Amino acid sequence: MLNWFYIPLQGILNGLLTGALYALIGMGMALIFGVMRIVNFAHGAFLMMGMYATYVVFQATGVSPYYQFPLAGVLLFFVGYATYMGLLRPIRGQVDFMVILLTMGLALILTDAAQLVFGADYHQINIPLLSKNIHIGPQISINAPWLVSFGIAMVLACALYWVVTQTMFGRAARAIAQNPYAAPLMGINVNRVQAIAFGIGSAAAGISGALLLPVFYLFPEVGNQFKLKSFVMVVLGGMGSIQGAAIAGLVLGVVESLTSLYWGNEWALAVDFVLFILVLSLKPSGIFGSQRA
Amino acid sequence: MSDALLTMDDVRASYGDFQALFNITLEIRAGEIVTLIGANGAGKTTTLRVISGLLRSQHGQLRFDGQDISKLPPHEIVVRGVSHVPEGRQLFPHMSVEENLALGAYIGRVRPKLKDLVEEQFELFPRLKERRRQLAGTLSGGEQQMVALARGLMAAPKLLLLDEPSLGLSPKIVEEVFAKVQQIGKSGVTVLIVEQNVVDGLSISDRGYVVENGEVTLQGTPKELLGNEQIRAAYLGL
Ligand SMILES: Nc1ncnc2c1ncn2[C@@H]1O[C@H](COP(=O)(O)OP(=O)(O)OP(=O)(O)O)[C@@H](O)[C@H]1O
Ligand SMILES: [Mg+2]
Repeated sequence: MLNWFYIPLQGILNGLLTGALYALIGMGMALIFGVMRIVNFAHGAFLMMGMYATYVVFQATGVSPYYQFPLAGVLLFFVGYATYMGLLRPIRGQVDFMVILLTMGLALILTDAAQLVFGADYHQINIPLLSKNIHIGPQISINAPWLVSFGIAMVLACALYWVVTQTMFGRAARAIAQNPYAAPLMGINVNRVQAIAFGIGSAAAGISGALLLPVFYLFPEVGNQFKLKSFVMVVLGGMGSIQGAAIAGLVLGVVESLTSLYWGNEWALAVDFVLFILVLSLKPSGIFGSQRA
Repeated sequence: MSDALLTMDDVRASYGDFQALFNITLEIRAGEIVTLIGANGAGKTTTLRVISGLLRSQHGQLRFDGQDISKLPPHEIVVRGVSHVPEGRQLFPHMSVEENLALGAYIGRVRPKLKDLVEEQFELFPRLKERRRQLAGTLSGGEQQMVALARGLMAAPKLLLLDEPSLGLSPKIVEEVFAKVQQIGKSGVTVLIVEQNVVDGLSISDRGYVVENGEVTLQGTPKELLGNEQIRAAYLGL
């Protein structure tokens, strides 16, 4: 009955549920790019770290990732902060290529370290919530963990937006992005604000990893696909606009979901990149926002 | 010597291998308005950049309010009470006038007084109140200069550094800017102003310094400097 209506509707809903997690990943990347013009190639590896950290805590305590995700956030905040202060700050002002090489190298080291410690095997966790489904009418059903992670990701995305647009810290971060010469003259400690912004962006990746753990599988290279998606989101969202990246994340989720629904799973990533290339060549300033963050 | 707010003694500074300042020696007393004049490329902007910490001095003394500030980073020099309004305004273009002003009050000491300080600026620059929600990048040149001045005052500085506030403005607006600077000086803020507009700059000043090739070569009262043959020839075309 009405399948032409319910099947795509279910597809769109699934897409939004995944898209919320994408949005959080993309906002983290966009914050770092918007404030520092740094493309963090380690963003996916940070997500992977968040996933493994959550996995370890889950194995040790049995506490659901939906309760212990802040731990991954705190851990990755400090990892991001230290990465900026220890590795990136010393090479600020040099060619961008150095920054790219450095973050790529860091990603490789982290991925290899995960492989050394945890092996190359795939891991999954099992929590009771996974078998719960919420039915809306006879045709639509939503898997409960996705709904929970959607809720958490949306709340965090709004919080991040609020921090960047409404607080003095966010204002300082945007000031640095808009005029790095004038920012220190306001009394802004540029290095500290950037390190904190880098930490917050990394924490977003870490929390996304924690939220993905129950509904995904875990292996050392798991971050790569999300790193690629976050590039797509930053470009679609308008090069550093965090609200743009958030909308791009939701759209990406829906587009992928409908693509795999009608064309098959293997096409989903291809469609991401078709979008990416189209935007870069037709409207490089992005679709969902202009750089203002 | 003792009531000097800012002292520079034989200050030298370089951009990489290029030495821009050779011997900057000057003294500004609390409450004064002092003008720095000199040809293009003489090192006026560089002098201000050294004071606000954007560029490190390599030699000589730099003291503010009795303390050595030569090793402090810019954000700490703001906290000590120096506010630098840079050449070319350097606003945050995608932020509103209000947000630009709020950033001026970033330092902890004045942040709690944000509302009062904004009101003070709106009193001094009524036009900004009308434009409070407009993005700074879309303001006219004169309005942008007003925002730059107001933003500099938001930190409630003891010393205000102004780099060519009249640059690119129409004569009428220039007059307005100088009137405001004079008003700011009367309110008790010490001002060091860099000006190409030698006559206007000196007319509101207590004293002036001449910078040539990175060196302070002359100083005096406005009357003395305006009467000096060399200055009349070099800067006034007389
Ligand atoms: N970032 C820089 N790197 C290298 N050299 C610089 C830099 N900024 C200024 N200079 C040089 O230092 C010298 C002094 O420059 P400065 O900007 O202080 O001059 P100025 O007196 O402010 O001139 P103007 O009236 O044109 O603003 C000039 O020779 C200039 O070319
Ligand atoms: Mg200059």
